[in-house]
This record gives sequence, structure tokens and C-alpha cells, in this order.
Amino acid sequence: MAVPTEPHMWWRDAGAGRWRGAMRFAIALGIVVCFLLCFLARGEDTRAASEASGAAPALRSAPLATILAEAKASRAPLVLVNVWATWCDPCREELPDLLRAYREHRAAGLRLVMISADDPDARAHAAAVLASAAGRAGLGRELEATAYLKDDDDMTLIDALDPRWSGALPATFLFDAAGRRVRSWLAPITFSDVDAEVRRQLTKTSGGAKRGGAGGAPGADDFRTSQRRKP
Amino acid sequence: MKRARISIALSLAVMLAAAAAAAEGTGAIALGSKAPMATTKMKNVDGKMVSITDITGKAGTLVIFTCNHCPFAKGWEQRIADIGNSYSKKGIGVILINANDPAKYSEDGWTEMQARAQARGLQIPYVVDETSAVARAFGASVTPEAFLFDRAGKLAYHGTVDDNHQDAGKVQKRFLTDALDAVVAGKPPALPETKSLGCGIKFHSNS
Repeated sequence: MAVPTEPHMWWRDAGAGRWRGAMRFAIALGIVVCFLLCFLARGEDTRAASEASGAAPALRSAPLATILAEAKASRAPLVLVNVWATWCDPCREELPDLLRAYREHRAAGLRLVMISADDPDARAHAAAVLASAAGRAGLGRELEATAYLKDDDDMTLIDALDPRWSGALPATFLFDAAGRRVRSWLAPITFSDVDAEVRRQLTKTSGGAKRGGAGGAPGADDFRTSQRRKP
Repeated sequence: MKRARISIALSLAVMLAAAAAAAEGTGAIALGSKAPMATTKMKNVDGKMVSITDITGKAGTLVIFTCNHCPFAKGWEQRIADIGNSYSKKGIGVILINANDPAKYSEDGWTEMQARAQARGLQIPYVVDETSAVARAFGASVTPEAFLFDRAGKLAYHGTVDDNHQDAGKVQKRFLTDALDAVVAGKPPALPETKSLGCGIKFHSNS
């Protein structure tokens, strides 16, 4: 009775030397291929992460007229417009407070518009900075639709937002449903600055609606510029 | 009599408060104004003390608030140096003032000012506004921000350098040099006020 050759002993058969060489080559090739695949896969992960961070939110280039028209069309009772830039430290520092104020009042219809003054070649970086801050604030990709890259010349943008603004960043402006500016902060804001003003305006709006007035639209006296100068 | 004194005191308090508010950034000095704090001595990059009055030119005087760290100031830095060097030979007194607190950006310190002045071949004073008092008096709020006074010492132009801080080759509107040419010619600038986005002045908080 022939003893069956153990399957794992096949390489001991005749011609095993040739097979051994081929096996060694295959193993070596496998290691190299695995290494290369791992390396490439890692690179893909990096690219995917980079693309994901750069894609959310996408910063559209848009002139202020378009941005404000979109805001008005949204029928939001209040629109908070913040002009910022990635190179502006005070802008990045106020971002958590700004996003917190938005989170606090978004249910009441507050719309947050972020206008980046970065150069177009920094678009992806600006998007990534904003996406990261929004993520930390628990806003996910909520700001995507209202995050823009400025597309006006500086003077047009500055004077359209507030003729009294020098252009120093950051600056934040509050508009009502009719597109009228009701407040400017020409300095870094804090959560309480925005929170108090938004509450005040929302109260006026609801009061005006109850009275059957013009939505509580403020008059010229309501327009105050922050005189606090923070570095 | 007592009531009159109280009234005068109250009036003075209101005036002082208004002046303080103006100095705290509710707006720059108006066109036609004289340079405030013109005799205040400030430390130049060469170590000498210089005031605006010291450098006042026969054709006019250009005061630019700028700094070292701001991307906009950096973008315009060489153009500002070239404009200053060039127009100081045309009768315009030019002075660059850094009112930023270096405690907030170490790059805005005096040593860095010296290095940048040398690197840009600056032939005009670049001085330190140690308490930001001069910037506050001007109502300056952004860097860079130019104030051009005519030969009578009245503010004739206030604003930015040109319409492209990033690329000198793509400039279409040369606001400051147009204004300088007008002032040198004894005429009012066609566009007396301009603006650009920029960095807020990092004011000293102890003044």
C-alpha cells in the first residue's frame, strides 16, 4: 500500500529545487507587492482625508450682491455676515464664539454667512479651516451653503457692508429679513455680543409681527457700530 | 456761578469723551485735518528720535501706519519703500509708523523693523509708536493705512496703496501715487479716500 505523499511535502518531490526557487521568488514578490499596496493605500487615505477636509464646506466665489440676495431669498429673519481670513489670527480666535452664537439661534432662523477674504489660491485652506471649526462646534457641514470666498474688489465689499468700516478684519454685520443692516461689529466679537443683539432683534421681530408692523424692522437709530477696539 | 462751573465741566467732559471716542477707532481724522501729535518723537530704526514735524516736506507729508507681520503690509512692503524713497526726493516728507504691540506679534518688534528696513532699502524713517497713541490720534485702524497731507499740512488723501496687495504686476489703480502726484503738483487728489481689507492695528492696551 503506497503511502500517500503528504500534501505539504510536495516540494520534497523530484524537481523540488526548481519549485523552491520559484517559491522564494513568489514570496519575495508578494512582500514587495504588499509593501507597495500598503504604501499606496496610505497615500490614498491621506488624499481622501485632504480632499474631504477641502471639500466641506466648499467656498464659492460670489459677489456680495449675490450673497445678500441668496440670504434674502432664504427668508431668514436675521443674517449674520462675518468677513474673515485664514491669515487673520483674531478672525480664527473669534470663530468658536461666532459659531456658538449661530448654533444657539439657528433654530430661530439665524443664517450665518462666512465671507473669506483669502486669496483664491488659499480657497482649499480656508475651506479646511472653516470645516474644522464647524466640526468642533458640532455643526457638521451645515455652513457649506453659506460659506463664500469674496469676489468683489475691496472697496466695493467694504462700503456695501458698512461705509464706516475701515476694512480691518475681522468684521461682522447683522442684517434683517428685509436686507437692512441693523448692527456692525468692526472688531472681534464675543458670544455675548452677538447673542444679546440677536435676541434683541428677534424679540423686536416677533413683537413687530404681533403688532402687524413691518416685521420689527429697526430704524436708523438701531445701527450702532462697536466702539470696542480689541486687538 | 456754581451752576456755570458745573456746566463748563460737563461740557468739557463731553468734549473729551467725544475726542476719546474718535481716537478709539470710530473713524479716522477728516480730510482737511492737520496731522495730530505731529511733534511727538518716535524711535526710528537708526535709533534717533523723529517726529512728523521733523520730516514734514515742502510739497507735502506722507504718514503710513504699517507693521511687519501683516500679510497685507508684507505684500505692499517693497512698494511702500519704493514710493517713500521716490517721493521723498520730490519734496514729500515720508514717515512709516509701526503702532503694533510687539507683545502680540513679536515680529512687530524694533529689531525686526530694522531688518526689514535694511532688506527693503528704506531711506525714510520707520518709527515705533510705543503706546499706539499716535495711531489712535489719527484714528488709524488698519495696516497699511496712508495719510497724505498737502503743502498746507491738510489731509488730502487717506487710504490704501493700490488695488492689489498681492501682486504688483496686476495693479490697475495706483491710488497713493496718483494722490502723491496731485499733491506734488499742488492739486487735490481726484480720489481722496480709498479702502482695502487688511489687518487691524494691534494696539497697545496700556495707554
